[in-house]
Amino acid sequence: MEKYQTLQGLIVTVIRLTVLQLFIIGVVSGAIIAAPAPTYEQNVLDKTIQINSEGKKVKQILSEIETLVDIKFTYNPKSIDINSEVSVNYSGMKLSEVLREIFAPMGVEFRLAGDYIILSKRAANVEEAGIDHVVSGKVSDDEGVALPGVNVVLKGTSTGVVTDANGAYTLPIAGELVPSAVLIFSFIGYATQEEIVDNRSVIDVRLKADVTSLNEVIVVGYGTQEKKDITTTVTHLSGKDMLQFAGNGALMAIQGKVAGLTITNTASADPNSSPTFQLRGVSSRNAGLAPLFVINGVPGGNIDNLNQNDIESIDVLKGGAASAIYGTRGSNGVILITTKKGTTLPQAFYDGYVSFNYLTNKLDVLSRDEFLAHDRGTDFGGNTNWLNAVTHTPAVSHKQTLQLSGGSDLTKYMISFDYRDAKGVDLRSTKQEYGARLNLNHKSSNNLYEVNVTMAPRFLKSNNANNDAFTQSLFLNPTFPVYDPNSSANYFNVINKGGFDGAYNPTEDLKAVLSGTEGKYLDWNASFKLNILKNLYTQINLAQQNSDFFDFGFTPSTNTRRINGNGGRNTADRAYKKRDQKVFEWIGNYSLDKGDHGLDVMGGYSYTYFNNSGLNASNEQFPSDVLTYNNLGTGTWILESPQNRVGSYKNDAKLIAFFARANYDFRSKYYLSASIRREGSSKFGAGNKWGSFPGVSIGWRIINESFFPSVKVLNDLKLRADFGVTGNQDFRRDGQSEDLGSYLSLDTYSGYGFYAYQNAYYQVWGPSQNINRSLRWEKAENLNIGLDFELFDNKLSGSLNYFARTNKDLLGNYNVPVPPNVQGSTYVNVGTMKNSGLEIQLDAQAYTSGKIRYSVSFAGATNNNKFVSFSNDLYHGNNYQDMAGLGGMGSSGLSAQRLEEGKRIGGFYMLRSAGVDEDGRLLVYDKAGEVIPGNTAKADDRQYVGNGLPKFTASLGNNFSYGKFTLNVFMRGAFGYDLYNTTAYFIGTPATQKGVNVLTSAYDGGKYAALTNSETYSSLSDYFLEKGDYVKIDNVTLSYTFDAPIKYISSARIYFTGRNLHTFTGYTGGDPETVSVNGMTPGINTSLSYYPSSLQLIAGLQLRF
Amino acid sequence: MKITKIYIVRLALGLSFVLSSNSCTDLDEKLYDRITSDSFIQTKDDVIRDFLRSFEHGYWSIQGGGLYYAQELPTDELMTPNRDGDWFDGGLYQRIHYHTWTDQDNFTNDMWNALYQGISLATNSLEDITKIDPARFGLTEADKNDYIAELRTLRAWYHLRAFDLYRNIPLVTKVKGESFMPDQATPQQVFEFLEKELTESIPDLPTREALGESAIGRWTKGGAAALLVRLYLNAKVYIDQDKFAECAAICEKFIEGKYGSYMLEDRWDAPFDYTNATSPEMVFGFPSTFARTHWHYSGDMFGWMAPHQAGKYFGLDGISYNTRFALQPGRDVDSVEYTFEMGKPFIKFHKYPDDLRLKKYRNLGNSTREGMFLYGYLPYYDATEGKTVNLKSNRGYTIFSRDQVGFFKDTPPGQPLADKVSTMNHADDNSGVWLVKYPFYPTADINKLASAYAEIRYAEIYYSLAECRYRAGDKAAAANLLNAVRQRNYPDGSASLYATDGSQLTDLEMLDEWGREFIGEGRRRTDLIRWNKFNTPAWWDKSPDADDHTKIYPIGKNVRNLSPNLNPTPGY
Repeated sequence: MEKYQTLQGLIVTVIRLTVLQLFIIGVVSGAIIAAPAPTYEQNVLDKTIQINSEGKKVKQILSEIETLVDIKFTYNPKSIDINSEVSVNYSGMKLSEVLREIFAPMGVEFRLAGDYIILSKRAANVEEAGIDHVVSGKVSDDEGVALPGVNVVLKGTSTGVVTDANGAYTLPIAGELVPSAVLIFSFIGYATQEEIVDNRSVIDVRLKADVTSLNEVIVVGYGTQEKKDITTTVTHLSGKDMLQFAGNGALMAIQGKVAGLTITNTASADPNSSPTFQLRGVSSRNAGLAPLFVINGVPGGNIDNLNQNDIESIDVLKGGAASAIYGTRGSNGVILITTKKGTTLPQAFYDGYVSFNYLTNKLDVLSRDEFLAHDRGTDFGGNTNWLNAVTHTPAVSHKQTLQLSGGSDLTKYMISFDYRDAKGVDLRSTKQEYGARLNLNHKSSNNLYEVNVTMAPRFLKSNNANNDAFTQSLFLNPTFPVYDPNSSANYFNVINKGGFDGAYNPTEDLKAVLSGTEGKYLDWNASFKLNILKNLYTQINLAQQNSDFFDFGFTPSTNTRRINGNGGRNTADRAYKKRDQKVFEWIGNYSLDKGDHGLDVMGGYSYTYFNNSGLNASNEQFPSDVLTYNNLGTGTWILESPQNRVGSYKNDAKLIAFFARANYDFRSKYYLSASIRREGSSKFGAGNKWGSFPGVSIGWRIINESFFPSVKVLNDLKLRADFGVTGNQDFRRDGQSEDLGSYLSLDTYSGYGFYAYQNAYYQVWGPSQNINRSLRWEKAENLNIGLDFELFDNKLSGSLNYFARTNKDLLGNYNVPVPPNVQGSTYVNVGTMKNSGLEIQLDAQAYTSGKIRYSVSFAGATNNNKFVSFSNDLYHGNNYQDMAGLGGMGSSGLSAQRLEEGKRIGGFYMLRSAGVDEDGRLLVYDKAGEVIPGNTAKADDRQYVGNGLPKFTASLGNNFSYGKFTLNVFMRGAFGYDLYNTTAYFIGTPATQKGVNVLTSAYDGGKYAALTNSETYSSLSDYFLEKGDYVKIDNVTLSYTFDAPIKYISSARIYFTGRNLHTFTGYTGGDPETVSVNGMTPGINTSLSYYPSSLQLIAGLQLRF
Repeated sequence: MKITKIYIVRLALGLSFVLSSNSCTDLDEKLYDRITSDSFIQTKDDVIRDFLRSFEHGYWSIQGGGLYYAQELPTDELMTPNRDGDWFDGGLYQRIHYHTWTDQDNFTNDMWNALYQGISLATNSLEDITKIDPARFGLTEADKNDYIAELRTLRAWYHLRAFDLYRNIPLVTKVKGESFMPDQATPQQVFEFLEKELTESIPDLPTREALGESAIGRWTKGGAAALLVRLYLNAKVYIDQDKFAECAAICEKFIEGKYGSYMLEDRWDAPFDYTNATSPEMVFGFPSTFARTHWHYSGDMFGWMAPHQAGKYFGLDGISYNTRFALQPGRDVDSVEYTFEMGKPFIKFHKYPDDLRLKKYRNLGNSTREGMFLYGYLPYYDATEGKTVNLKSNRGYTIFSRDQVGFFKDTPPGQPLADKVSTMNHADDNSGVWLVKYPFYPTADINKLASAYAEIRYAEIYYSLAECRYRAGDKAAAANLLNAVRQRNYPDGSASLYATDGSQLTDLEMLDEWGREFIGEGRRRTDLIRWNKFNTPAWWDKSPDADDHTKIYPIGKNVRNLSPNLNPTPGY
């Protein structure tokens, strides 16, 4: 029977391969179908084994057989008494004979199915006769998607089949059908369902996803584990947990989903913006804060080259022990991304959406009439809403994804294509990209080796947004027209007509100035796995990530800025940036499952080589604006005015590691895992390149203890503790994104400016930096204690974690005395920072009744931060550092925050306001507590007045479904922190200089309207500090699934998503999320520059066929 | 089983082979776009590049880190008032004006670091060049000695400035392999160190004429001697010892040509014009071009000593202008001259009304200019409007700048103003006259921004000697020396020259004349202190100080935190 099914399935597979699929597979693998040759399986029952024991339980004997021959038993514990004792003493007998000896007396049958031996109770009342009844039907999931491979078994018998690619099955039943005959439908990950046959010949079934997650496969570094065996802190998200969104950065789809992981994008409506990530608080002073991304096992994966639809699952390693296997780069956590793999059954999937972005939480400035009524400046005759003049709404974007997968048992492929055309709400920014991802797996027929190949090319062209255009739109005089009233072909020249320095026409900038990039990514990786023994394998991984960016910029000669400041010379530049990363890894894995003991040992070697290089050039005064940036050589400016307009760079770095890990468990009750990674980075000082990163974790599944009362409400309970040391070497020279941070420990010379000597100009050369031969690893010590639980028939599951992380030897520029140093700061390891917090993650099937289901998930995290120390044996200095300098608008150089020993980061350190006097001047407290006018205060009068780091972040996900409708409502919030209203500070008061437009708050009679006196205009005080707390209706998705609406389409789903629908907050400076709370200066934007917040509506269609 | 054993053995062998090879654990860094210091010097040009490192920094240091404004803003000449919300900067400039700065004001750290970075770089180059075998690079022993002498002089120049600003400073002669800031030397030790360094360097230094056309930017015998003049002239302040005689002796030798051949220019603006790199009045200067560096035209110096839109008036685009620095006012809001003696720089010029420098600055074409100040209306031809219009401020009102401070905005000249407040915190862009020392030639002019920066002018030797003579009681000699320079400022036969008997000379006149000749050249603070006028007299919006601890700046708090061996400055 089963054999027949397999062959049929295979034929179906071949027929259903489209010409395109054939082509793709043909090209890529050269082998379309490799026929299975299951000779190995056939022989298992014929293997001779030796087993003997007195009075063993059946359970134990089965487990011993499993280790002797490579086979697994599957059975229903309710129908087979595996706890009955038998005495066995067999030597030199075939397995089939042994099994017959044991089970025949028990009335149990066995049969081989793949890697499994299925045990089932022999049905006494079914005669071995001809086929009398045939039941057929279709099995699908709760969204109507066909489920292939579902086991359909007649209850109490061994009669059964497996569903085909369309989820269809046909089950012939021998003998007379009893009235109580029941079909059992079972499939991993779904709740088993029983259906009474009742003489029906067609039974269609929808399986519900299994609520327990204990058997979920969690990807950990260099391997996988089942969730029940995990002893470290890992959050697993499958594709269906992800939020629907349209924008840059695939991982925005998990924003708010993981307790303790802050994903922030302060400009999410900019199609080229990237989110920032921060796990469990800020972890470093100057080195990278982003987690390590591992895509399909390749550390340092490129998340920009990732289509959200291609993601199968995401595992976030939060605990130190889990990250320690990637110790070198694990200080900020590790995010493992697994992309979709091929399936034996051919499938095609299409997802297409169109999104519309609308401005929301706008910053309102005075209209033309209000501007004139408040005598804010000269009337230039126009009437312009500058925000409208630099935006177009809705900004429409769309994305199409097509995925095809299929293959045979041995060779599987998944190929995905996507195309995205996105526009920002500003007039210039766009991103067009197309990419593909091919995933190919091949297994040898004798299971000796496996090959995995992934290729992911991507091409893009971007036009950059200009955040400063929004700044201009805030403060430009609304009586300026956009276009010159005398000649409408020209833009109105706003320069030198009052207002802030550097004002320009932002509409002109966005429409007529070119700025962008053409980029490509080529990422590939390949692995070869050799199964030396059934439980011993070795694997080699190769990976490369290559990217090229070719930036362009051009400003035409007609540009009013160029006319005013540069004699009307057009200017153009190009910059070519090349990044390359190569990885070689070799690992070996040995596992042993012997009775009560389970052991898994892994060891390996890893080599990563980074290489960045680039070239740039610019020129001015081209003969024609038509050339734009395409003919730099025709520019005459560098000849007329000799100056250096070319540059190039190159630097590289290496990481080399040896690592090993052992996992041990005893009776699935006690777990112990220990790992060590010894890693070296070329970037550190000669004697300090290598570091060791150990991790150890223990787990105790209390639920499996015999003394534990079998409480009905409790389904699983596990206590975990782990400790690990992780490192950070992700640093670069200040502000140089293309710099790998190499050579900082060396005594190097570089070129600086030019100086005349004997009538010739020489570039002077001297020390590049202060030498720091002791530059070494930044390390974090992570302690985590956690509890995992499942309650009420698995209806409520969750985990609770406490963590404490100490980051030591923080990397960063540190002020040093000059002399003996030649530069005022050295890149060193100084300082200690601590973060601790409590995280809770809950999932509940809150209500299920008939067609109605409601589930809810909650993630919440607290964060305590303390900057412990700012010095060490070698470096003593200030015990504080002033941060977040506010630039521009007549108050440059004032810092708003202070980083100080013993304090939480993000502390606002400024004057404490004491109200406003009758002249409209800001009053502040001096250090003696006296009230003085703000302008007379000194640096010494500053004090701590608030903090910009949220104390608590939380999210709440709600999932309602009614039949084929589902509704997701996802809310997020952050609490217990302050935000500095930088916009109000600069342009929110009547004291703002004339000629500049201001926020409506300047004349609304509120607190900002009271500050009428320009004498205290730029006194930096807590008068502008507001509570940042907010709750946001972040994502609402409504979808409906159609059953096979037309031929060839097995299911269709339409969805509508609204993002950023409403924000509940007391903050008056716009969307509180446009102020980042990640990094070392949370809670403040240091300039007016911003990208407006947007509300996004998405309509999408998904098809499976 | 056998086969798998072979696999394992082969794998183990392979693994151990690969991992034992060096390349698999080799973490040495390969350099691409930089060079290690010990392999840097390969050619003669490399020696020169190394030699010049601290010179390049030196040019930056004339204005960086607050080094320019710290010499000008606490004096009675320049001001940075709060202009309608601009230039408040947390009260920094007001604290400098009122002498209420503390060691928490960042410029007290920045100036220190700027100077000591120059000292460290010069010392680093000295250590590099001392090691080389000159023959290997086609250099003579004399070349090497010249480099060493120039670097020692350059280092002395930095030290002398630090000495003047902070007084209690460490002396640095070695940096490679050092781990601590040296302890502070006593003023006497610093004085002797500088005297020795400069005196010892002079024999090995070239002369101006030996270097010829390329003398600009190089330390010469004249440059080192001029530093000795500065040291001796201020010795009373530095070490409480009168060294005016020593100062005079050097000046005499200087004028006799013992340190090289120098001459005073006969045009007042010649020392600041694009030709000044080869001017015989240039004792030490920094070479400048439009395309490369021109730090004195930057925002920390003369670039921001003009209205925002001055580019239209000058016809020079491509550099930024700002109203950061201007002359302190001589008149109140009602145009009545203030009664205090000090300050009032524009009025001090007007004391000799035929002064050629008093003309409004104007470009005359062909790389020529007239006048040294911007005041009143600043008319220019506006091509888009097709007519001549007056320059406006960035706030929209027309610029009519005057020798007064207040909120004038569009108020025409002469019209009384209700708002009589004239303070550092109450000014607009029409408050104060701007100084244009170095010319802003128009965009099309090939010599735009090409003037070298004159750090030491030969005129300083005349003025220094004049002061020594005056202090020695020889007013006639003093007047003649001053007139030697001054004659170019007035028409021929002008009555503005001092009577040959020197009868007009008083302490105040001496100080005023230092101010007229060297206005904006970053030395006013030193001159006021030497004449003991820095703390006690009042000037515009500035009452006398309670004590004189502000004569030296405090070593910034951040600097002292990093080097706890540095003692706090008394009085702060």
